[in-house]
Amino acid sequence: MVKVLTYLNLIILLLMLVSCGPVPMERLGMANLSVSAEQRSARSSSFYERSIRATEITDDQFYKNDRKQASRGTLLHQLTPQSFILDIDDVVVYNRLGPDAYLSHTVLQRVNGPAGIVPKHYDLVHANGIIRDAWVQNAEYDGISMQFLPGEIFVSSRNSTTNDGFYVLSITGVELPEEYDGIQLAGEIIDDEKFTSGLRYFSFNHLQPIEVNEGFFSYLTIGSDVGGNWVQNPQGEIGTWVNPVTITNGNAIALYLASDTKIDISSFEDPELLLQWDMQDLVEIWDNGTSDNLSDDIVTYNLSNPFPVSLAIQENYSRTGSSSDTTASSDVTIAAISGQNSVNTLQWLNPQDEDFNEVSIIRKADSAPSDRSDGEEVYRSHIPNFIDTTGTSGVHYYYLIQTVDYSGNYSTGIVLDQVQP
Amino acid sequence: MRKYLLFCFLLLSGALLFAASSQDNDQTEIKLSVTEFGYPFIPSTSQVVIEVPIQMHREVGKITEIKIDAWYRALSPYFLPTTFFEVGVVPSINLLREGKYKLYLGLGTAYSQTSEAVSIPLIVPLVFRYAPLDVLELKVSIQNMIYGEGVISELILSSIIGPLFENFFIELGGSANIAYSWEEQYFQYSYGLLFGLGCRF
Repeated sequence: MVKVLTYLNLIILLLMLVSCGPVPMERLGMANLSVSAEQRSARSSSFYERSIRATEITDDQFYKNDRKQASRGTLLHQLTPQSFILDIDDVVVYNRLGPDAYLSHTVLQRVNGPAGIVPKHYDLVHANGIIRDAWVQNAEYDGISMQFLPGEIFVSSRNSTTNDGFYVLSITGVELPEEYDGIQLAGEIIDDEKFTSGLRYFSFNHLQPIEVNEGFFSYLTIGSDVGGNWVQNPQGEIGTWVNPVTITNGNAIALYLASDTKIDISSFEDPELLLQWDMQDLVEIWDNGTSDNLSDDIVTYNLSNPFPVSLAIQENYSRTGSSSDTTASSDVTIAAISGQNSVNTLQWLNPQDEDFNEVSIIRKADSAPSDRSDGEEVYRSHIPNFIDTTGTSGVHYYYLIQTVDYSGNYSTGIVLDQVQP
Repeated sequence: MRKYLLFCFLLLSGALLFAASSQDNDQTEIKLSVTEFGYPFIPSTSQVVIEVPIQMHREVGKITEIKIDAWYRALSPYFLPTTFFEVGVVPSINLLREGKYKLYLGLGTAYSQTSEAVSIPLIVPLVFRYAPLDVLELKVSIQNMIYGEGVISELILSSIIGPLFENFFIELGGSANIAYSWEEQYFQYSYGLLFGLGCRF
């Protein structure tokens, strides 16, 4: 008996030593889903295999008072934003099991640093590959739901004693007509240090027309299980609320949009779910009943369809570079470093370039890296944030952030630095 | 690809060879079954399994039941080695001696290939079988697969109906999987139905 057990132990040990390799998620009937975002005007109709359209929300009973039909003035301008930055926390696909019950699968994880949430800024005008390598079952899903941080103003929690500090950056950049030069409009964010593009930026909270009272608009769900468009917790009161992302207490407000079909990825080998937020004429300027006064004009998302969101599913096309391409993609923008209590946290906005692939970060102590060989690579991914947990407290670190395109070209890069708390 | 197919062939035939050359064994019925897994409902994964039971007479009245399972599995309803295929072999021993109950504990390995990587897991299955009727067997199977970077645990609950027309049987049931990758720090799960057809020789 002892001999048998000895042999068995040896066999197990041998097999454990031999066992190797990654977990093959395909064994679970999983598909490698990627989720991208683009404005609708960029799509070609022949390219998409399946399209899921969310119906419009046109009932203005949920709107802020100044945007209700009865109180607003006349429409002055319709503008297409050039930048639509949303801090996306989570994205899930889900199936509804019953009243207030969902079976959901997170395809984009929230990032929690050692001392607080670290929002990820995505510019949805072009955010190819928000998520890559997210495994989901080859199945039908009722819908998709996302949580985002709305951002009333350009927020930093640096002064907080509990958070390491982060920026919420849900803003829309648009070129206003010349008549608004020198006039600051309600909801406008001015930060000459960070915004140098010449665009005028407005917070998502201000532009979205839903009345939130004391709450904050933070969830969007598009689903075939949604009977009609509606707003959950429109008064923004603290209470228990349920949606496909989470079940919790809070004063968040969720918008539900009905879609005409389910998300069916069962027949796709390598599916890509494309979230489309139509930018065409998304921003409107309305007169506030005072035609001679421009400063009180209302800048808002399109009031006839403020959330023109739809989904499309396609086979994922592999993006490859070319040896003749020697032009790097643009550098990241609005980069920031924080972390007053523990580690260094870096956030940025990926560039809009079509061939942007990923970001590489080189770290060096005490002086800035002169090039990418001067230091240690500590990060390489497309997710627009990085929490450096490997540094030593008290050391002054410099981070060279470079973008890398699909042809392997590196941008010049920008440098951030901070003494590790 | 040719060398992988050769490897599959050797693994499958090796298991059979081992079974055929055992001394003092009373071979009973070899089972060959084909199973379609739907994740969750539409057939997406197919598997062919050869199960070779071996009875080893240790002394009068004492029989050790062993079985060897060898399989080929592919992420395709048609057995095509597209983005994933796997060949594996697991010898198991029956720990119960009751006539209607069987509890097999096994130890084996497999060769898994995806479009990006090759993995070789340590496999530890636990299979409980209960045959309340001559033509019905209920099966609960937990197959734990330990990889270099994580684990997969597959739970199968199924009913095996047969023999029908002397040699054939049908398997109906469900399958649930949990995977955890400590390298990538994530959990995944899947669930689905399974339908199998088999015959005994």
